[in-house]
Amino acid sequence: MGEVLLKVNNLKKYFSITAGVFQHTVGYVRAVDGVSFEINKGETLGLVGESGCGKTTLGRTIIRLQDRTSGEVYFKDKDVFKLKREELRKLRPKMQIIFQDPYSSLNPRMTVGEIVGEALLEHNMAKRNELQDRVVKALEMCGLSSYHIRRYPHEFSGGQRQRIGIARALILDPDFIVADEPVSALDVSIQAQIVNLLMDLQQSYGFTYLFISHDLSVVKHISHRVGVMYLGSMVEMADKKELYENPLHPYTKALLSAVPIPDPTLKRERIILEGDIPSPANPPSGCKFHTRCPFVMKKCSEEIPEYKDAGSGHFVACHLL
Amino acid sequence: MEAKSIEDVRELATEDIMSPWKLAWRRLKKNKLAMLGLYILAIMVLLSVVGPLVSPYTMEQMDLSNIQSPPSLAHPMGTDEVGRDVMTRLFYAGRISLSVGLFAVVISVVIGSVLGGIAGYYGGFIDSLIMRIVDIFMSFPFLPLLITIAAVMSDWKVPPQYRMFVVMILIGILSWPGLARIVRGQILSLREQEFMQAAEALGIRDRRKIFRHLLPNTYASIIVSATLDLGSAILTESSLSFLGLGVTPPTPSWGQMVQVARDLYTLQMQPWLWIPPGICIFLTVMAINLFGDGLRDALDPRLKR
Amino acid sequence: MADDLLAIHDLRTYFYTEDGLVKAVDGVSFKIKKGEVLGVVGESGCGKSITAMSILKLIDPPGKIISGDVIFEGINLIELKEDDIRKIRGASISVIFQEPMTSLNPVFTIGDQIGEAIMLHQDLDKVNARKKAIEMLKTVGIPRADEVVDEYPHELSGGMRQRAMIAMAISCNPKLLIADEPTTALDVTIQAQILELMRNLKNDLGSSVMLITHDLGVVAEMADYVIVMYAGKIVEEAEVVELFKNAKHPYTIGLLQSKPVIMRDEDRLNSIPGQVPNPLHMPSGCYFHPRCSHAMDICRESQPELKEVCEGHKAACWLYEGVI
Repeated sequence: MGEVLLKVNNLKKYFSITAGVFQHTVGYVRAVDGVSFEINKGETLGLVGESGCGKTTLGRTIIRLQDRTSGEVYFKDKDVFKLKREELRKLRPKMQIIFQDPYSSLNPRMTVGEIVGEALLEHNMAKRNELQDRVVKALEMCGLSSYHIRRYPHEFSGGQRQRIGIARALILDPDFIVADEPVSALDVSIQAQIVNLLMDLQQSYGFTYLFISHDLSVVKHISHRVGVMYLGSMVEMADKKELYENPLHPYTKALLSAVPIPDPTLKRERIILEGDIPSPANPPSGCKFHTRCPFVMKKCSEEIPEYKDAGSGHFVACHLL
Repeated sequence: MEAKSIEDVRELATEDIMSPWKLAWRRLKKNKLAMLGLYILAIMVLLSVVGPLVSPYTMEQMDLSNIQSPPSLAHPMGTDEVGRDVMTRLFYAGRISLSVGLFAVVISVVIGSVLGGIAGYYGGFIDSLIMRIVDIFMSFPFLPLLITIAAVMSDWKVPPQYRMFVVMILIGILSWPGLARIVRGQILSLREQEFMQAAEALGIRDRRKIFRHLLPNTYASIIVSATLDLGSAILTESSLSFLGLGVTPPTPSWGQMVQVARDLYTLQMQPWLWIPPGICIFLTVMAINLFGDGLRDALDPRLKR
Repeated sequence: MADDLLAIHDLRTYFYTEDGLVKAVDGVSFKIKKGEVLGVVGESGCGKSITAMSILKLIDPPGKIISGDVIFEGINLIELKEDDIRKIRGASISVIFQEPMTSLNPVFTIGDQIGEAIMLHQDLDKVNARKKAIEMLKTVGIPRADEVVDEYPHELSGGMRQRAMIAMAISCNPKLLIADEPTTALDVTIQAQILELMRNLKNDLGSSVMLITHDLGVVAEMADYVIVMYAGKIVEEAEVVELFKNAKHPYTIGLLQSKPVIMRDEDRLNSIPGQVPNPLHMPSGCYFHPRCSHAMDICRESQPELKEVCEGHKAACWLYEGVI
């Protein structure tokens, strides 16, 4: 590894909160609040965090499904936010996304063949007469069959629909895929199928993934490196092994210890965090985690800790270090 | 992978592809009341279209020797005050009433879905503007306006066959706002659906996004509300004609035929003149409403699950 | 036998849908002992929630409880009239639902809703019911309980709502608490708080808990005894340690292997092929056979019964036929 495919630099995405008849802005939800990281070609970067931490917004902003507030995203050295409309549209096939909800992410009035194949035609990546073969090939890669091509999404189960969503992304031969909670809506026995499929496709095609999930064990399984987000900020990022065996940030430690483990004989030290996740519209001062941190110091509520390398690519933002 | 092959066989066995429309039709067929509505409606349309062709009389053919006769073999529904065959006029009236309703709804659907679609898709100022226009139209005093227009038309001596068109256009123009609201709401919620984001992520051009992704998903609700609107348009036409403000003699419409019942003598002694058109209005509107409700149940339920 | 709080025998709840008959719960029998946490595990549509709702006869048409007995403290709940079972609901048996937002009424304050249950089942007036409500909110660890009591559900976070829900459920000291996916809608750190709370409350109150979940981790942490359901039937049951150490049914084994474990490293997940069967077109024989890697001829032909495969461990699988 080494070649950087995607570089995110101090990215911010605020949503304005409006009120009143004239819809004036009364505040901002800081969904993504100054995040920087890189993704190397062929790797899977896992992104974990609880609801409201901004992981989904981050995933959608870096492929410019929505506008940023500030910061830059470089995809293959191109500043994604400087692209003109048509340039962006032409770049789209290279950056794909797989959605969480296998129900709302497929147009109910289109056949599977049309859903998977339409972008090929839009980008003149296939001729009409070879379209069907390409679609069938993509479906088969994803564990579906050729006769599925003329069917409609409602005839499929959640897991199969997720396979259709993957085929739709895969057929464009993308370099980079954002997988936004792709297995969260699925049953446990189906989750494993989809995780295996994503990993197999990476093996065959060298895809680069940003794998977003709240499920720490799935992220651990699929990722090479893992980042942890809390209230719009990246608090820790490291190689998978390093992060799970040697977490430095108190939040990461608490998160890891909170995951229930399917082994009734195992007795663990558990860190139970006090209180709720604060609202991203009104985040705590200083370190955003200080309101729940068991090791909070005076400095934490005053100063924002710097996000820095604690050695061998293990990034963390905490005053304890 | 034995499991796989078994599943394949089962799926292949049921290889009839269920498009959303087919699925809706299957659901509709199970709804007995809706199908009853559809049948009644079909019969009404059939009678109106074919009736006049097979009837031995014409609409205006008078038989002064045989006026106000009660139902007989020659005139199954009797004759009116100038000896015209009531049944034949009933068929013609059906043509007028149904087509006035239909054209009014077509006008309303065209205006409503275009303006509602524009408001929903572009949002912002355009949306506010269109929705305020909708508000204005919805607060119009409908009946006084029509009475005024009817009076003006009588003054200007507009011929009866043109007045019919004026009625159609008026009902259409005054009933689009409800539909515009529905379409706008649909587009707004569709835009939030992940498949629209997916289309953006795939680099689909705007035109295809609108015509292939957005619009087909609004057809169902447009069809449902247009159907239900058809019922109320027919009812409006009848009320107007009954009041003498809509379709005027000699052109018959159901509402206008019921008008004779305003005369106490006719009401009591010649029920064959007003009961049949009254029943026609009642049956048609009820059939449309039954069918429309069934259509909503068949098309609307989240196809998703 | 004396220490059984609830005994369910051959419960069948069917749904007569437009498209056909769905046997949501198809001959389920189990017992819950006093003070025990029974974990019910299964995927969506396996009938675990319907089983719980059937206990309280909360089944709406087109669903219908076809047969079976639900013996709670010597009374068969299935035979009770609507008025009589209402006295049990919320009092002796109460329920915590997955999504607290939809099970709390948005137009009443938290205090009103907890107070209502208290007034209904305990002979308290409005003032005392409110006091009790505040006390309950404190018990479940809600800060500012005397303010929260006058707030509306939408003013609380998901975790706090679930706590309020629990406060409501335990306000009448139920003997059995049915928790239907109580933490599924919550974040991991909040889930840990709620599970901790439920554990402590159970110890303090001595109630039995029927914990319904799809998360094997939650079951491993909370349950004493575990039932695994698939397609409306129990496929395996055992004490929790035994079940996780010595799973017998291929479905349970598959479930355990298909979830990556945070403390372990796996190369590849062992997935169960295929889909959960369509309840309208159940496969012949054992419902799991189309997805089972051990499927034999007999599995396609007839349904295995739930039998003891080793001491205190039952499974419904032809692989273990004649083992004991």
